[in-house]
Amino acid sequence: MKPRARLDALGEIRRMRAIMRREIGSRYAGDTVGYLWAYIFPLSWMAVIYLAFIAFGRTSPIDTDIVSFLLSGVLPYLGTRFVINAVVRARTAYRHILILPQVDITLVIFSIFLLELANGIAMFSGLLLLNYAVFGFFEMADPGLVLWGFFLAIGSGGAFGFLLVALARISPVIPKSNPIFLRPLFYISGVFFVANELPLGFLTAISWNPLFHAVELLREGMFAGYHSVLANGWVPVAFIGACLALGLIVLNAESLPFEGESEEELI
Amino acid sequence: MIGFDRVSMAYVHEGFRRQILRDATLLFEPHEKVCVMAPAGSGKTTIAHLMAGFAEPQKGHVLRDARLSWPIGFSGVMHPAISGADNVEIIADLAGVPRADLLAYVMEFSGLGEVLDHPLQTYSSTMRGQLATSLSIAMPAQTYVVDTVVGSGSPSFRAKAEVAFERKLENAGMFFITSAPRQAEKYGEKFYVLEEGQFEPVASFVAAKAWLESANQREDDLSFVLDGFFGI
Repeated sequence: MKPRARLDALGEIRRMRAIMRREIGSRYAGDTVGYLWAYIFPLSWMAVIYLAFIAFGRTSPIDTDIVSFLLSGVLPYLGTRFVINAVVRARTAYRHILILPQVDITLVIFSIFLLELANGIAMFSGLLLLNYAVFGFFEMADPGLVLWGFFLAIGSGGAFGFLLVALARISPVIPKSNPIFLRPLFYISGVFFVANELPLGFLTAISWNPLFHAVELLREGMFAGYHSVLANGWVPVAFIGACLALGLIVLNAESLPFEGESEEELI
Repeated sequence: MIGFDRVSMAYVHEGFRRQILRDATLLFEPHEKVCVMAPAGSGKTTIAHLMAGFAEPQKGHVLRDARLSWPIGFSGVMHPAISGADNVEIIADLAGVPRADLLAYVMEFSGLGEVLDHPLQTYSSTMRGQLATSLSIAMPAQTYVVDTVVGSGSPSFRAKAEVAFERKLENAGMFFITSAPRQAEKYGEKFYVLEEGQFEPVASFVAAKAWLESANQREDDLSFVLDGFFGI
């Protein structure tokens, strides 16, 4: 049994690498910059939000520089957004691959999640170092807590994407609705504010948001002396657990038709 | 047993509802070589995709308790932005097939050489067909699914693909849905015809061919009448 289990594990790793290779090879294809867009895009987001901050005369609500503060909110948000989009896209991008008995949608989604997590961490690290190189600022009080917060942000996105893909079995329109969730998320996830500066009523109203908790946790780890009134890791953990559990239930429900290639044009 | 168990399938195209299968049943063992003769435009690709697992029926079940291929020559499993060689390696890793062996076979069989290092989207349809057919034949399967014809690409390549496919069938079964009598006769052992959304068994290839000719004639007659009526 043990050698077989080991072989299976190696096979799973090989398949996950193949999925990541396919993702890297296919994303932003046909462009000379290619996969670097995965890094250029967040950089441009940061630049735009930074300039908007300067233009509106806003300062960091925490005792730190503007770039460090924005990094702590923008990158977890973007990571969450990217992983949701990538996971939802996998539903159609892998529909033919999924007939291989060795490949299932959970393996595809988990591989994409790991790739997005690695991309996000690389991007975050790179921008922290860039901020140090250009402006001389570097904030990292508790790297473990920063990583945990970042993981919870990307994990929330991945789990939510997984749920949307599973719910496509009920209606293929559901995954297409993700912009409805993503747009408001930008304004209620602490991308450009912190929990401690919010009026109590508003804070209570958005305290269900797992991404906001993840961002605030990350900030507690990044900025020495910052203690969020909101940060609670159990909220994103519960959200991830609920999305995964519900998604698995729907995916394994035999009475539902599995979405197919031409379902949208079928009666 | 694999195959179709009381399957119904319909779709709407340009406002017209089209019933492909109507409570249709066709069950067979994975090693059997089953051939369904169906006239042009009767939904062969939809049925092949159902068998391969690309789509699920609206009613009934498609049983796939065997290692089924995707339709021979189907290139949708490969990503157009990735090179042919990388696509082959990725599929090898996903399917648990030795990567070097699969790539070597596909390189040799397709005859595409260095072209395999270019992105798939730069290939001509002939080159893409040759790559897809080579990959389909190289992939191990208990039952091969064939949509319309075995092999695409240049005539010499198609001839080579037919020989290779025949060898594959020595140890595998086949679900072949086609309107091409020549290949049906060559590969088929059990014959069915697709009539009004049902798989109807027929005694022999000769009977299947006669039915297909008759169906095509009816289709031609109808087209002739409609053309005359609408002045198209």
